[in-house]
Amino acid sequence: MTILKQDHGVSAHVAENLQALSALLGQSEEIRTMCFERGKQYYGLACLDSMTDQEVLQKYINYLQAAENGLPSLDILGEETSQNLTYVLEKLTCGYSVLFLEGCDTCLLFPVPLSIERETIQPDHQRIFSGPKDGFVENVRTNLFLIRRRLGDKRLRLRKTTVGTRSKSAVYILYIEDLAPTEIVNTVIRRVEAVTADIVLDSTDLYQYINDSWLSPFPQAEFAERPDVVTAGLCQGRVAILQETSPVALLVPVTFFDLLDVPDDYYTGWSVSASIIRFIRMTAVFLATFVPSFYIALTAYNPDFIPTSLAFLIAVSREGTPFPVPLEAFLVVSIMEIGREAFLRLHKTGALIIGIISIAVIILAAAFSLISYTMVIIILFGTICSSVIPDNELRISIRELQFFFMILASFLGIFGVAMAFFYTGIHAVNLKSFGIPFMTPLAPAVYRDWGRIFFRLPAWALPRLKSYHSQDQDRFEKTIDRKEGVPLEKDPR
Amino acid sequence: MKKTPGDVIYPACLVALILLSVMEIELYTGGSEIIKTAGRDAWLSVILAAPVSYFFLYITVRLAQRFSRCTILEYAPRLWGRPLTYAIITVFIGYELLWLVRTLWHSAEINMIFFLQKTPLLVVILFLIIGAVLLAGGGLVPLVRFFEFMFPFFFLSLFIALVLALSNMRISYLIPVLAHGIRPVLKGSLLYLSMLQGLEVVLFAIPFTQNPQKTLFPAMAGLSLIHILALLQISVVLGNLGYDGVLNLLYPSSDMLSTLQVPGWPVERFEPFLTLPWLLGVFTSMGLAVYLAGYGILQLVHLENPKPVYWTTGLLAIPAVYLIPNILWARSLSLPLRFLTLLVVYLLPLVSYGLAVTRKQKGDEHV
Repeated sequence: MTILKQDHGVSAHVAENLQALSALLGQSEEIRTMCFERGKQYYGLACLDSMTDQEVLQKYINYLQAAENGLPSLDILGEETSQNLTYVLEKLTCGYSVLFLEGCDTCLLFPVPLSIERETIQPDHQRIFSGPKDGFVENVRTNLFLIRRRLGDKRLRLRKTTVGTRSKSAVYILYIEDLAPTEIVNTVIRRVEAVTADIVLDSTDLYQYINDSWLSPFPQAEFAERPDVVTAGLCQGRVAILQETSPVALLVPVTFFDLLDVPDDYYTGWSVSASIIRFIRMTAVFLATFVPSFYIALTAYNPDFIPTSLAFLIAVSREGTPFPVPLEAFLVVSIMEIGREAFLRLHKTGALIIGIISIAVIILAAAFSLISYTMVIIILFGTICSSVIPDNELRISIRELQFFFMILASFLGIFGVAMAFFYTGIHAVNLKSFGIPFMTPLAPAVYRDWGRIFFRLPAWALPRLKSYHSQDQDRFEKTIDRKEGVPLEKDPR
Repeated sequence: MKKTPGDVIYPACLVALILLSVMEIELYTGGSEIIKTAGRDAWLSVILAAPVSYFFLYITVRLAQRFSRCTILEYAPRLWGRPLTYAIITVFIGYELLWLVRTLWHSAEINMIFFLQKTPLLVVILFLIIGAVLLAGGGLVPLVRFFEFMFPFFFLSLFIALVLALSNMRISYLIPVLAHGIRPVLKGSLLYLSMLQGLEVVLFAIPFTQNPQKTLFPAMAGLSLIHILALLQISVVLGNLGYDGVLNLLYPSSDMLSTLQVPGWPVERFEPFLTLPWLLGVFTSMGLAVYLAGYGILQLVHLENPKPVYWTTGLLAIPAVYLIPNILWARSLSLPLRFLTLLVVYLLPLVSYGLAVTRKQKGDEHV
């Protein structure tokens, strides 16, 4: 067995190089080597079979064999040269091929990656009715293209790094130089470069290494699957993190209210209706968190607060039910959650069947007085409300918080609900996403941003978000009459 | 905690901070005492007290702006000398602890009455105090953020309750005006002024704001909201229950809401509109009291890690609550507390400002 040094240099002999590469890969069958001669020149070529587009490679080979006078031009063939076999091996794993020349201790590296790509279709989790329907795919170059096509700004910066000592996944950090605060950009770069894991398979995996608090139920990055969302985020002074093989871009920092944002709000023609829909969405978040726990608290501890006619209805529906209210609530919520999990894990037909079975179980339980109808209504209403939340991670968080609220309501009634709210509030105001308070612009109150977050002003009146401390947040307001487009003073740039 | 771009508090935060610091038990229960003192003219007491409170708040804000980057306990040695500063800090700590214990006792009592009749008192107290310590432990910036976060929930529910109560109000219960002369009204005003515990937070929050020179307007706005809510509260309690109706009641605001009948509203009991903001008000006040008492202790002992101090302060309040056997004792605590309020909230800033001006002391360097 050949023992190789850590940094093995390229030899002047083709055969030695090919043998060394093969040895570096443990004589793996994955490596493909070939030698050919043209005139007086002897060539050796190596690539990883699994990573190389064979059709394109064959074209390169044909070109090499057709060349009459030895070595073809570097410009035509490839991107770079190397004298280090370890480095060559790294490039082979990225889809490069290497060309050795007899008598030369420098080799040529040229990209021939195999690209399997699906269409840039609308992502399932972030569906919209109007506006562009494209979404990210597993090829990062395509994703970068989708962003670049929307953002012609020459100040868009891209920084590449790799994560995972074994996976060596390429990670791209994008930001607009004169918008994104330097401190936040540096924090992102520092955290990504500090990842020491063996394998980082996806950007969602990467997120767990770079977030601020792993204990927090709230997501501290926006998981964007749409290029228009990322482009808008970059223009707010945020930073996007894209990873090779991941169709999800991380947008940081993020606030609670950004996670309730959907592109449809901006693509809706009439801003008033967009504002009303946004208000409904926020109310739904509030209701999803509070309704089940408040119902438990009122029925189990303070029925005197319930209006008489409603109290009678609840009493009638609970007649004959064997379980106390809190246990009943946990039972129904558990059936819903298990049903939901099964729905997600199974294929389409199976999921549909499980969905029907879950509902049937709940209805039958109510019909046989195992649980009350009012409880079913309350829990289903809570489920519908939580389904309105556009961000999947936040939706899961709110569902988990629902349990926390229900537990405290079961033991302490309305006081427990209030305490759960206070404790969650304390956590939320202490939480930061890359230095930005999570509850901005409510706490700290940034009133200017309320026109974008709580309402949706017309596009021409939308304020640039101050929440992210973007570098030129006041420039636009000072220089342009935003509706007429008339310059008020000379643009400083 | 490492400072980040998000670690700023804007001057506007003072609106929420002042409102949620001051509106607690004292202002809810104290309404009946003002009515007992000033009679049907209790609402006039609030109106007369308002300009005085504005004047003192103006002085307080000016003092804080004069030493724009340090708190009163930090620059006090320059004005008062070291021995007197230690005395001031000790009084300040005592005041905050007394406020904490009294508020904790009352909130536990109210919970026993309205929500948890069978739950042991200790459970309620533990939940409240742990929350208050967690709130204070993050420091002033998250504390202020919490106040801002809770502000809409607090203000809207309280405002709705009071506006609903207006519909059943009888103006005849508020007149004749000045039937017993001006003296009871002035006494009522003094009583009202002594109930504004928590207003001293201005002295501690302004140095942390992004621009201390722009804090006067939000501070005044916060105080105005308190006056509006207090005036509304006293007026609707008087207007709904009448002077004689209020005399024997323990919590007249709540009793007033339980008598409400508003056609078209799908609720029969309106107390939650009051009790929930009430709970929020006492919780925020407790968080603030733990923070300020802990801050005072830290000024005396100079510890690196403030968290054990906050925990000790909070946990000390638990046995102290058990020393108060009944509501009469709790109410008797109000007298020294109100006296201390007059000292800490009004007299201390006034004299400090006078000393600063006459001695030409100002600046933003820490002492």
